[in-house]
Amino acid sequence: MDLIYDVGGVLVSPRTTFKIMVTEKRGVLSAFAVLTLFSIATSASASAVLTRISLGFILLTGFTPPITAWFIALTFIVVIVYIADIVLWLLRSALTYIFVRIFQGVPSFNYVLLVHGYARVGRSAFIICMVASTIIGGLSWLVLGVIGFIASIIVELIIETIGISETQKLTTGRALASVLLSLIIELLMISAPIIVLMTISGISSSWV
Amino acid sequence: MGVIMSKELIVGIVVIIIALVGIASLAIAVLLPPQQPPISKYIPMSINISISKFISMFRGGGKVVYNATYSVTGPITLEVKVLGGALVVKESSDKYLRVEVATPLFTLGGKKSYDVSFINDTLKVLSTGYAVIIHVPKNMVRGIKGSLGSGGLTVDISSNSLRSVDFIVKSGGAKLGLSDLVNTSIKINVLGGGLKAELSLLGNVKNSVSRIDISVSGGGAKVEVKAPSHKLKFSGKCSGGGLTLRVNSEKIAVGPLGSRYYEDPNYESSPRKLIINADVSGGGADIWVMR
Repeated sequence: MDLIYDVGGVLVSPRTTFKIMVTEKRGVLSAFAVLTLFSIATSASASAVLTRISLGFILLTGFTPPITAWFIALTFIVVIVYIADIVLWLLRSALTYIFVRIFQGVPSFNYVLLVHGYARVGRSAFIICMVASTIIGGLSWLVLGVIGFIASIIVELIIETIGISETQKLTTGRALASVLLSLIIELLMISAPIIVLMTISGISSSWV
Repeated sequence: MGVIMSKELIVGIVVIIIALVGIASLAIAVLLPPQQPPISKYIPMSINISISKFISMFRGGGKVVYNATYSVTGPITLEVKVLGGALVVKESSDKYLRVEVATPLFTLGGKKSYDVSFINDTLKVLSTGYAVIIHVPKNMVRGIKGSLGSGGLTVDISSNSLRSVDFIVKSGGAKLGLSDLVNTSIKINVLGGGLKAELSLLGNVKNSVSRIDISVSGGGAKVEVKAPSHKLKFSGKCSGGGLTLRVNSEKIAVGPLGSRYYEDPNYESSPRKLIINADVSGGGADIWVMR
C-alpha cells in the first residue's frame, strides 16, 4: 500500500511524499521496484508501436513473420533496455551524488537512488501516448511520441529536483543544478564513444 | 476497516494501471491484425505510385537482361538458389516454361550475377542480386529444391505431381505457396530469416501420404497446411525458441523446451495421411493444420 501511495504521491505532492519517505526510512528496494515496472512498461509500449509499424511494412513484401519469433525478439529488446536502464540509474545517481557533495548538501546515496528510481513514474505520460498510438495507428506515434517524451522528461526533472532538494537538504536552485548537470554529463558519457567512433571513421575515410 | 482513498492513493493506482497497460500493449500489438502502412493517406499519390513501382520492379519489373522460353513435355524439377535480390516462381497460363531475369530498380551495391540452365527436365537458376521470375505450367513440377542466402524467394504454384520439396532458408524472407498436393514430401530447414508456407493438400484423392519435415535453428517459420479429410501424425521437439502446433482451433504448444507427439484417432486406417515432424533448436515455428 505504501508503494502505491508513494507512486501517486511523487506526482501529486512530491515534497510531502519525499519527506514521508525520509521519515519512514524507505529502502532502495521500493525504488528498484518502481524502476523495474516503469522501465519494462516504457520499452514494452514503445516496442508495441514499433511492432505495429514494422509488421505493416513487412506486409508489403508479402511476408508475415511468426508470432513466436516476434515475441522472442521483443522480449529480448525489453530485457536489454531494462538492463541498460538499471546501469543508467546507478550512473545518474552516482553523478548526482557527486554534485550534491559539490553544492554542499547532506549527501545520502541511498536517497539519491530512491529519488531517481521514483522519478521514473514520470514516464507514465510517455506510456499513455505510446498505448494511444498503438490503438490509433497511422503516423500518430510521431506526434504522440514527441509529446509524451517531452512531458515525461519535464515531469521526471521536476520530481528529481524536488526529491533531491528534500532528501539532500539543498535549495531548489542547487538541486535543479545537480539534477541537470548529472543528466548532461550522463548524456555526454553515453554519446562520447559514438562521437569518437564517428570521428575515427571520418578520419580514416578521408585518408582513403 | 475501510481504506481512506486519498488522492495520492488514487493517482498511484491509476499510474500503476497505466504501467501494466503499457506492458500489455506489447501483446496487443502482436495479436492485433497488422496495419498496412498509411501510404495513400499521408504521402502524395505520386510517391505512393513510386513505392508500388519500386516493389513491383524489385520483383522483376526492371530492365530485362535474360528471357527464355522452354517447351515442356514431362514433369520438371526446379533448383533455385538466391543469394540476394528476388526470385519468384509462379504458375503460367500456358504449357511453356519461361524464365525472365531483370535488374532490380534499386540495389545496395555488391556483386550481381545469374546463371540459368534447363537440362534433362531440370531448371537450375542461380541468382545474386537480380530479380528473377519463373513461370511454370500447372501440374508440371515434380520437385523443387530451393536455397535462400539473402533477399526474397517466393514460390506460388499448384501441382498434383509435386513429390519433393527441399527448402533451406539461411537469411532473408521466403514465401512458399503450394496447392493441390498429393503424396508430397516437404523438407524445410530455416537457419535464419523467415519462412511463411501456405500448403494445400488435395482431399478428394483415394490414397495420399504427405510428409512435412521442419527444422528451425534460427529465425522463424510459419506453416499453414490445409489438409481436408487427412489424418495427422505430429512429432515435435523443441530445445530452444518456441514451437506451436495448432490443429483447427486446438492449440498444442511444444515448448521452449520439450517434445510432443500427436496422432489423430483412426490415423493408421486412414487412406489419406499427413505426417509432420518439427525440430526447433532456436527461433520459432508456428504450424497450423486446418481441415
